[in-house]
Amino acid sequence: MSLTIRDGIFDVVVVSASRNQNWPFHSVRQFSKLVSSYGLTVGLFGGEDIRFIGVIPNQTTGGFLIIEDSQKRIHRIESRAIIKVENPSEMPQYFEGFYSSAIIPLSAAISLLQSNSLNLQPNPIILGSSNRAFRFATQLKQQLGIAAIVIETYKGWSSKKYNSWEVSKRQFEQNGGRFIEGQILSLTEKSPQLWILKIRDNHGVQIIETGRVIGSGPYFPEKQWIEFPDGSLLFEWKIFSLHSRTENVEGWILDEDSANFLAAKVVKMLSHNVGPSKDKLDSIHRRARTRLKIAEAHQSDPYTPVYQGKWLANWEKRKIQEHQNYTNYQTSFFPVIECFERITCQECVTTCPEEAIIINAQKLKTINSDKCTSCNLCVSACPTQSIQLLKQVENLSYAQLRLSWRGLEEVHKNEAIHTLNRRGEFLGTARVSNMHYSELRTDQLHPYFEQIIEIEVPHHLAWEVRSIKKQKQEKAVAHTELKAPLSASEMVEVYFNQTKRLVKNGALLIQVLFEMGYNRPEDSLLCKDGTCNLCEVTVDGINQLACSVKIRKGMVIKLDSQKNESGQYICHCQKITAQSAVNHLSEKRTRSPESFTQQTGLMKGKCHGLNCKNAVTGLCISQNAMSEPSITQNWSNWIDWSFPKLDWNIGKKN
Amino acid sequence: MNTAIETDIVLIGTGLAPLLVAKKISEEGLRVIILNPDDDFFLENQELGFDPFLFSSPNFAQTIIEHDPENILQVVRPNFPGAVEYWSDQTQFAGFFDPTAPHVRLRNLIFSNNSELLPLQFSEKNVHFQVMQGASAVARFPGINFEKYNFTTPDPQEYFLLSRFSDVDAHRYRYGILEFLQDKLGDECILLSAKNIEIIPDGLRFQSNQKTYTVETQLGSYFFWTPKSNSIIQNIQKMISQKNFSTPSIQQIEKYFILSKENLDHTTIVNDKNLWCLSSITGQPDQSKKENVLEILVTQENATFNEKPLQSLNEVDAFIRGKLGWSKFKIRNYTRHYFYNWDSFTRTGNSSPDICFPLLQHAGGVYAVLNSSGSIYQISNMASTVSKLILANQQIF
Repeated sequence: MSLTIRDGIFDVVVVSASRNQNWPFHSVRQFSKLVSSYGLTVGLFGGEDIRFIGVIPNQTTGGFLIIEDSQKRIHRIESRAIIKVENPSEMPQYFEGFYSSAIIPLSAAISLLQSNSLNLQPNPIILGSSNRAFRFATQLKQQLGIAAIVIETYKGWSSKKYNSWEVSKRQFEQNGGRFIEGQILSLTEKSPQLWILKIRDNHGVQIIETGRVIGSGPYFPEKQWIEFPDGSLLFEWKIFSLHSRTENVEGWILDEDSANFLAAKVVKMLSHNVGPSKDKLDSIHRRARTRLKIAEAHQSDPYTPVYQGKWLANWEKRKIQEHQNYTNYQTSFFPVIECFERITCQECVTTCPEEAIIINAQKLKTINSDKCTSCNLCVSACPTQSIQLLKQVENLSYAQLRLSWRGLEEVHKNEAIHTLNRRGEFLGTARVSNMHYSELRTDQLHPYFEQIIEIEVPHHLAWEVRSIKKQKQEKAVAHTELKAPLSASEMVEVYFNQTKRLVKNGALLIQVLFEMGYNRPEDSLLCKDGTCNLCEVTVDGINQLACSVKIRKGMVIKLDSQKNESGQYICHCQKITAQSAVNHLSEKRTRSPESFTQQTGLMKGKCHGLNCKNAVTGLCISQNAMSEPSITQNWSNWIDWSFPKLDWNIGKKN
Repeated sequence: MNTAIETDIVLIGTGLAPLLVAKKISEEGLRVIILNPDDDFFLENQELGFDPFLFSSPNFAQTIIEHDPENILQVVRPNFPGAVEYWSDQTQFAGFFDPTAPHVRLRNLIFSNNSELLPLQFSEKNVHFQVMQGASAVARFPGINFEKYNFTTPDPQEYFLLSRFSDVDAHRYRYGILEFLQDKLGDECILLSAKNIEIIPDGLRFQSNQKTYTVETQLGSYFFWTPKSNSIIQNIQKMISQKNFSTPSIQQIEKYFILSKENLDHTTIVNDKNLWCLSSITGQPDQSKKENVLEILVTQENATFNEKPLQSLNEVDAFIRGKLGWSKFKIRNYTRHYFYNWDSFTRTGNSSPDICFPLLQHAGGVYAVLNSSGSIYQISNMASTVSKLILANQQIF
């Protein structure tokens, strides 16, 4: 048998580094549309059938993309510019025990929860305080009754706040979630499926028992796209929103802007003569740059109102009222838009049929009350529940508020509910006077209700109450109890390390490993698609990937005994300790990431940095942040182009 | 911010060559500044343990003699500020031994022979060799799977075995020199990320880490010519009204790191027109090996910078399946390296170029240095010659 390589040539190539059902993403389509409209040939490579092997850079610009199709044929695509699309990395930074079977990436946690294979109790912990982390934790509480703890480990975490971060955090805290800023000291196993996490925060050392630690990230500020080396036209593009617009609107918008910016940049570099459409291209470039700058400015300076006790400070209240042009009592419902951030989301603006919401000179959303018909559409459209309708009639003892409710349980008319302030603190009880519509929606986890509810609150609370909580929520049925036991016909007998086990028929082996608590650190569904080749198990005497084998009756599964998960190692593939890496850094013999990884051997092992890249990067940045800012700069602008991206099997059918 | 520096000499390069020259001339009391356009040394990876292009060498037998361990030790030891150990099958019986020091290893070289003249050349040069065939020869290739070997129709190819071949631990050698110079000269004399290098009447101007430096030199500036510094040399060439030298031809090495079940101890197999390999030696003290990796090099003469990658994947695949008898394999890493072939380099009116020659005459001169990449043996030889020239402060022409 001889290998055959198929060749192709494009001006620009966009490739997905992992297999993904939704390929090409919206932003990729946007990029392709814009670039191809200037006469450049664009190749999009991704989806479920294409396996990305790697990129081999040219000596000058561009390079060669190597991919493998579903029939194991190799394709060598030459291109003047290559854009590798990556999902943000989710594995945590280094701490003692960071390489543990307790830790799974957020995307893996979502897919395992969907198949009811993951036990998160007690106290699931989410590392990293991104919008996504908060939203996932809120969903866990609202829909499954599980209270999660979000831990932020990066000292300068305010620079990681994305659009609507404050709102996501508020929703999370309103639902009883705990947010901790602190440094993780260690993670140790106490008993099967129970771990102890030690953290140090302002109050000292805390010990938390947890059923699972979910890595979310980003763990330090990450750029959405990087070009490395400078001028090489080799880009890495991090796409935040892989799903629908409703699930992650701010990520979607950010992606769209970066698509426009990147496309304009590439066209300008590759096409020397774009002709009369140059002005249009310049305009797209400028607009995208401005919008990205706005998003960046927001990250460094988000809006956080000041509180006195649990009450909003007077000047903050005045500021909010002035912003709404609110003067006195109103006779009809008045929209209150508490969106004080110059973000690029315009969901409310585009949804309003009367065009009553406008963007003012300060790039903030304001309402034209003459046009508003109080139709509630903006309240339900806002992805972060930042819009409410308020009616305060003179001589009436109460004010009326219309809020959006998204939860597992439906809210009924005349039901008594708890009212909460913007930080989720309890303010009192209120009665639901009206309920406008109820819609059953679905997202990544489970179906949930979306309603507009109307409540009556005293006048002095009209500018304080901003969300509600159902009473007696503690009676909500826990997720684990919801799972109905499987009938005998759904279970089959398999041999697991020479013992008989009853497991779900047809389930993926990796899910079963999680259910039984036998998952290894490498079984964390890091790649989601079997490309990483890390979760190898022996099934009926043949090495197979646990993430792609389905359970059937009589299967003989052999798993290596649990590896020695020594907390001292930062690279478990090559058994390199964190101390040796720190020693190397302290000697200051190297400045560039390439040289550091070459000399230490980090990220050069079996996983090619999939497990340890965040840990190594975080360690290097934290060690050098104070003394050598330029080294930190080197790390955050570096793309590892080492080929192949993961071990490349030749002559083996997966 | 502009920083002015006065020095005797400036050496500009990305690898070991400028470091070796700096070490030698700083020992004689000259002030040296080293500029590296890269963010770190050795990112270009231009230093090799042995010469993988030896088969294309016009004098193959002579190249083999150069790779004799004692010959190599004589060249590399004086340039290194510490011990360079010699690993052979007798090492374990030696006295003091530093396993962390760079080493020269005695190795066997086995290669397929298609030339009838080669035995004659070897005899003339007193090179001892052995002719092998069949299973006994194939067994020398590390990683061979004898379960798949066909003993009934053995390999008809004739192989030569040379027992006095060696390679140098390039990694430790170059980092040892760098550490010595960092301590001796200090960070202020070794400047990384040097960008926008300009020639000015008194010396050089450049930027490094967001600072602008102006360097006044007494004895000139030396550019060590490697593929990465090619653009700088080309820019200077543009300043010269008359083009008086050609561009050297390019040699490419494709390097595959294949995972193996056995511990192959970084044994290198080179797959070329001639199939050849360096086999292991006994008594190696290297206990730090972590991965079972078989390194396969494929060399290509007269390449260009725009060669398609993985050109030799078919050959490697055929070699692994056909010769080693593996049914499948995993590639852990693949890299490409470019080298200049200085034998092909000529300057107008001078067919045998000097090791370094002037590009410009002012400010002590601006020189291009050839042979700045390749095997440690070649680079060490070059460094000795160049430093002698500098110390003698003589005109190259």
